[in-house]
Amino acid sequence: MAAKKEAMMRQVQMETDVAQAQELMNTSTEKCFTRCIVNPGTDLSAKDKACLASCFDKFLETFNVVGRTYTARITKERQAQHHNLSS
Amino acid sequence: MADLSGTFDAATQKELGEFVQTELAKRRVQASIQRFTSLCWDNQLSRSEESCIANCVDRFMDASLFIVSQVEEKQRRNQMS
Repeated sequence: MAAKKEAMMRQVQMETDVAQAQELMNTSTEKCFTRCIVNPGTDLSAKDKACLASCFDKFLETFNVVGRTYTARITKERQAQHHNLSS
Repeated sequence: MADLSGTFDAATQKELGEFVQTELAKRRVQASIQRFTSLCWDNQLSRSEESCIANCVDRFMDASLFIVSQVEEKQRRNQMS
């Protein structure tokens, strides 16, 4: 039963991770398409590809900064709340 | 959710329930991170320095807490009148 339980937990975690990655892919594709492909032509030019590549890197960097900032902030807010409740 | 009573004993069901709650809480944080990434990305089209993004997130949180305090203030005033 322990093995079954762990399998179930892994499954849930994996599905959550996949959903998260898909969302990140969808948003970054949309944002970078809007930024880089202003006039869609008959194919992706080398310039388009270079723009998409750097845009994607920048988007991931933004995602990471937002993640760090947000988790730091909610940790701080939670501590402040604890402090208020205990005082 | 699927009925797991035949598969798992009560203690394991409880443990799994708690695990799912934790996962859902994580998912909510991740959803907020996605939302802020999208918002702050649109907000600073040319500048993408770390400090600008960090400011965007922190000011959004400030604005959100401020709005909540405004609503509470309004409720207090309504109760008094």
